Amino acid sequence: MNPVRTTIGTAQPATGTDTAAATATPAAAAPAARLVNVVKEYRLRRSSLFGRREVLQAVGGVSLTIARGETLGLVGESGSGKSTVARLLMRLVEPTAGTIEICGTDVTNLRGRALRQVRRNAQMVFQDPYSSLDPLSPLKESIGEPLRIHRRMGRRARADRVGELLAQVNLRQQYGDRYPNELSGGQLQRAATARALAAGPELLVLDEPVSALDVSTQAQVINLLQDLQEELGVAYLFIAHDLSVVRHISHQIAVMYLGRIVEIGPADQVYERPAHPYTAALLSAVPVPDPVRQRSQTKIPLRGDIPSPTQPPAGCRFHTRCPFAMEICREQDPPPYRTPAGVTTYCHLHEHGPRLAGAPVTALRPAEAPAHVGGKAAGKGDDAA
Amino acid sequence: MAMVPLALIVSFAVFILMALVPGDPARAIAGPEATPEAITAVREEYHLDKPLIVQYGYWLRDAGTLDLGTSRASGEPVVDEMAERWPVTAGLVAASAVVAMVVGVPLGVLAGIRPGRALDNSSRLLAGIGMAVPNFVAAIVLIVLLGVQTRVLPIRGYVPFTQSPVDWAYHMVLPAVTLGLTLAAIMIRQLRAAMIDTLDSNFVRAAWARGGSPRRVIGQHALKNASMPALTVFGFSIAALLGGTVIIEQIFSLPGLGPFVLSAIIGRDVPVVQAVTLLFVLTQMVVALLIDLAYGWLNPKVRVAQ
Amino acid sequence: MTVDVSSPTTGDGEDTRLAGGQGRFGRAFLRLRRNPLALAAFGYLVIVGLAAALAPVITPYDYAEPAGPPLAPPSGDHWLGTDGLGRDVFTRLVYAGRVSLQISLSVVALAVLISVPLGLLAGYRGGRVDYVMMRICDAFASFPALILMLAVAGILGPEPRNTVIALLVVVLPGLVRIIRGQARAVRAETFVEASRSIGTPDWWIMARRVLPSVASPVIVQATVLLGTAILAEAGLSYLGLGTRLPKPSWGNMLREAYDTTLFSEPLLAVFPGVAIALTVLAFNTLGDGLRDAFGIANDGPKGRSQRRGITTVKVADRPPAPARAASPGPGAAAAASTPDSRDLLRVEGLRVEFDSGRGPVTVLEDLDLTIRQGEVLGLVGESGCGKSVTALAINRLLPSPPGQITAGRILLDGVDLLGLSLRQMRRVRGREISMIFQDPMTSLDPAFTVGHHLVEAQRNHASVDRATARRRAIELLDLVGIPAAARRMGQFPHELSGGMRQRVMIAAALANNPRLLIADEPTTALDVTVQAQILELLRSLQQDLGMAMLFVTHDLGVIADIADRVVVMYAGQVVEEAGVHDLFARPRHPYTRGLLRAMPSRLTPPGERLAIIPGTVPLPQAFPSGCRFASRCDHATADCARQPVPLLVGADGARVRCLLADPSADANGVAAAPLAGQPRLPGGEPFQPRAPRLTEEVR
Ligand SMILES: Nc1ncnc2c1ncn2[C@@H]1O[C@H](COP(=O)(O)OP(=O)(O)OP(=O)(O)O)[C@@H](O)[C@H]1O
Ligand code: SF4
Ligand code: SF4
Ligand SMILES: [Mg+2]
Repeated sequence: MNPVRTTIGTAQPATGTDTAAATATPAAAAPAARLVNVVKEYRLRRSSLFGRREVLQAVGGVSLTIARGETLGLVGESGSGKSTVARLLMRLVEPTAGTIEICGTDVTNLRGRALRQVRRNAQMVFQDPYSSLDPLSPLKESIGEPLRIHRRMGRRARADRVGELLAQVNLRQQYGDRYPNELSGGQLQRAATARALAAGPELLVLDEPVSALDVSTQAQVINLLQDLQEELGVAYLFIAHDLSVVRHISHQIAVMYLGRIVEIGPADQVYERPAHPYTAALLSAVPVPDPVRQRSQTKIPLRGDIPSPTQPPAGCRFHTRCPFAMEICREQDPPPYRTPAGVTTYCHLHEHGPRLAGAPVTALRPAEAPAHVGGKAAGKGDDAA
Repeated sequence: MAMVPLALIVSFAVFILMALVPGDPARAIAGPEATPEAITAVREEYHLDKPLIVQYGYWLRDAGTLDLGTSRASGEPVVDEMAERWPVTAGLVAASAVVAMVVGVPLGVLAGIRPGRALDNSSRLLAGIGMAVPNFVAAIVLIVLLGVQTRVLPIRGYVPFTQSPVDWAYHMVLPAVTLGLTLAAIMIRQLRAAMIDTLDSNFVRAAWARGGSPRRVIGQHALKNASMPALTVFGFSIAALLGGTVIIEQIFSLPGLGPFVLSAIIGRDVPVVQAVTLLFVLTQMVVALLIDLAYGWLNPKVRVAQ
Repeated sequence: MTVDVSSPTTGDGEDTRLAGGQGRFGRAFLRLRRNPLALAAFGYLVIVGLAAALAPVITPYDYAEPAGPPLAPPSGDHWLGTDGLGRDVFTRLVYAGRVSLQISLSVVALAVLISVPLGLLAGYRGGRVDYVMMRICDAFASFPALILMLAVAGILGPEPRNTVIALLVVVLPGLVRIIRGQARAVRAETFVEASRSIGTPDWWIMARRVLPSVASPVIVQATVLLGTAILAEAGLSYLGLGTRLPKPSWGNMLREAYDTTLFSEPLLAVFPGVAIALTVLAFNTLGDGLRDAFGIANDGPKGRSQRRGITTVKVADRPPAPARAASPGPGAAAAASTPDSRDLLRVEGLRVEFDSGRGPVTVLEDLDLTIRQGEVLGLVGESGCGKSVTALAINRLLPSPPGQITAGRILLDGVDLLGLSLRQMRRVRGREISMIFQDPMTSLDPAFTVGHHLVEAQRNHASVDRATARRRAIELLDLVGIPAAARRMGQFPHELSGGMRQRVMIAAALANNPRLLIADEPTTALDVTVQAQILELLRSLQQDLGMAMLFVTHDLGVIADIADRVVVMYAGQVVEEAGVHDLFARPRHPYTRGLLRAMPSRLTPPGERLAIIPGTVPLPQAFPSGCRFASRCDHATADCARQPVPLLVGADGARVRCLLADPSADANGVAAAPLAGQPRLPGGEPFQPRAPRLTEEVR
């Protein structure tokens, strides 16, 4: 076990979704990032001349805190709003509502120069290594871009620093003169990490940084990220759809569904004792590379697909697919429930029905286990039909 | 529905042509010997004393009632003169479009199915030539070869379709071929590229994997999808065909709108230029609309999105 | 595409090496030099340009004054003869070229200068600026360009400056639109977003990131536009609205010849006509060449081509195809395991080559597999190792060109599929062997309904009438768990979610009760919860219908879930094969072991460093001749790199391609080091030297 991890695991009262704790904190002690009730809506183009202008709620009121030097893992299916959270945090898109803080500074309404200043503290690594570096520039030029912008370094100093950065991400110095199409995906992702680190940020937002990589190269990048965190004390928002990877690297984990966080808390708690049916289902759906365990493990089957975010279900957004859905779920949005283990979850099961009171949902049997998975499954909006 | 702002911009641009003409339009209308009073009268009658935008309003209103003014050269209502010549031009454009389709579609499709083969190489050569040779050069070459040397085809003159469809077609061959050549070349290139792309697509592979015959896979799946971009280009090219009639009708002495507008341009007969341009633009827009509808049939995704 | 040709690490490997560290212009130049057509066009244009620039030096005559008798034939004095007024035609042609080129160059230069900033602004900024600019461009596009040009030229009067303006009005909107489109595309690229996330100001991004990216399309477009401008200028002058006589231009020379001497001296019309056509052709050809050189658009395979729809087979010593259901051919004796009546499909010694444009590249070598009736064979390996190529080759679905099967046999019931014609192969595809693909988004034809696909799948193989086929189609949709099946029939693929589309693909694949279903990464594009549904569905269908399945994936977890037996591939070869429990419990090949340890899973302790496999997979062009894994292997010895490593077969049918591994090691053998979740083993320790219990060697 990583020692850093243990300490933080026990001493992290500021983490979680406690909005009550969202009072101004001195900058030095402030968390690396904090989102409070952040909402992002997109207005879609009219579907027809007479159609309503649909509103797509990509993120529907997300609150989370990333402590300094820690990793918050963000998981969820595609379309659940993970990348939008990342881009909101980076202020690459404008929030519709809510507050965004980076290192104690409220950046929600910053723009122009002031915003660019803050960006130095939070940098991003993108999913597709092949397109996240300018194909027409040699790597050293891309990696040096933050130095030029934020540190106003001269050519000389920049070359030196780029050299250090390359070394830091285990790339040979010669690669600085190469173009992106001459490198493999893993190497490119390391170069992108070097660029993100160049300005000395407190927070790296990693949006599916290893999803495009093969298993063997993925491990190289994951190890690198862990080394860098130990060395530099940088915090990560680590987004992935691969739950095993997230588990491996994160201290805290947030699970998103349809634009909302449904469960957030210490990684081991969320994984070992999931308090939300969606978390449990997601975990049970991840195939384990061990035929014995994979074939014997009880799965929590989910019906159908994630509904369209333009028409999120009323009440608990998960109720159309939840195997434990109750009457109340269709009507009332579940309030946050804080388990004794420090996990915040949004599910009625803890105070209604079986009254789990923080116990893992894996203790329950699905109300009606569909005989044939998806056999009578509902597709998008099929329930109504 | 993007058509509405487009139509407004276009009609305004057509109208503004008039404002570009150097000199006093009232004087031009009234004639060189007109008295100052007469000029003032003309100015008032044509609302030339009002701001440009107001004039545009009047013009738009008149255009809405099919009143496009009178030709300054002949004194006749422009609409009447156009009505007489429009069938010639429309027929020529339609015939050229048919030529382009008949030549371009099979060659483009076949070339795309078997790139690198002899047929592909010759169609690409043809396309290269079609894009590079201006239609008046092609017209002259054809006139010399077919009309003068061998006299197999008439090189000038026109017989209305209503009078004798056969004679009409006979007289249309050379003009339609020359005018349609460029579009045929464009269609070859478009379809070839689209076929190559489509034949490489996943759904075509999946269709082969279901055991489909070449007729079904290539003739149904690939062709339908490949025809979408080609159709768009085809629609856009109608404007070019209409414009091309100016030269082609002049060369082949066809009594269409081309020579009419050409002499109007040279003689700065603004109402005629405005009216013909407007007609051409509207035609283009109607064709674009029809193409859009056809596109919706080919590509259901568009149907839903619109 | 399931087979990604253009992936940056694999696609253009040769080229990048060739021009290592060079910018795109250097690379484009190298590629252009290999294009004779474009070079010829360029040469011609240089000559025309020089002639135009040096006109007074080249010809002794004046273009406006008679230089000899009228209509003199070509001679030493007058290379192209004289015209009706006795003027030297060659002189006039050269001066006309000067006029045309001057005007065209100014038009294009101005157009680029104006449209680049406008296009960049509209494309990068988007929003209202973009909307207004694009509506204006639309409006211009719906004008017949020629009339617009004539009107402008006619109103402004025939002066070179006005001609330039008239042409500009015509070319500008199109160019703005193209640059805007490019800028928009670049803006959507991640690297631009990355720059924004760094905090780089917009103007810097536009100047340093977007502008260079649009440079090459602009160069191409400008080249083609030069041709367009020449054409347009000629048209204007022909109609008397451009260059005015006596100043010559190609257009007015043509007009003059047409009006005066067309029938007596047609050559006089031919010269300017040819000049226009050749020059425009040259610009177009050069533009196409540049487009290829910059790699902007690929015109598809240029070389010789094959009939589509079936992979070409060029096997030198292929024995004549055995008759239907005949006994296995002679090669089978040497095969991995002895033929068995339960064998449904046997692939023997398969080799696949791709034409890379610089010689063939072998991407699949010496591949053997056997799929038994009713079993699920998992095929696993990293990206580019040849999984998809294998899957496609079986159904002869690799595109030819560039793909080609150059060795081996694929036996279905003893019939070698490599000997079949397209017509015969069609009876196998979709009936005996069905396929589903990775990307359900693109594997259904967007222009046809769900029902059409299902009906077609049946009617490809049996003459059922539409009504029956429809009924069966609805049953199939029911079978794969699609609710409201009847209603889905009329829907188009884009109206379905990814999971639903994959179900439709499965339904179509099952339409004719195939005996083998090849599934190439059918769940990779789906979310885990949907993946779980599809895996469950496939498993239950496979069991209910008793069909065999070849399941291709890169995910060892999925393999653990669904496969009975597993084949691991690396760099175009099979490196290991074993029963699924065996493989995970006792991986024999260092690569398999490395993969399993490199994967974080619920079984690895969190936070701990993962074991890594250093380096990257070699490109097919650079497959080493010895063990292909040697450069990344912890256990490599000098022997490993020396010569190809054979695939060793153990008594239980397990196979492994490693000099140090023992395919037959049993549960007690040291060769079977425990895995999954255990701390990393110290290097070098766990492998036994080759055991004496080897039964046979395969090639
Ligand atoms: N059409 C093609 N032209 C040239 N090379 C090709 C082509 N198709 C595949 N290849 C090459 O063949 C090799 C094997 O490719 P293949 O697609 O089978 O790999 P894969 O294991 O399926 O990978 P993935 O996991 O990415 O799907 C690769 O090196 C690839 O670049
Ligand atoms: S609130 Fe109800 S529907 Fe939502 S997750 Fe909990 S049990 Fe399921
Ligand atoms: S043959 Fe040698 S290099 Fe290859 S896998 Fe075995 S030990 Fe490693
Ligand atoms: Mg593949």
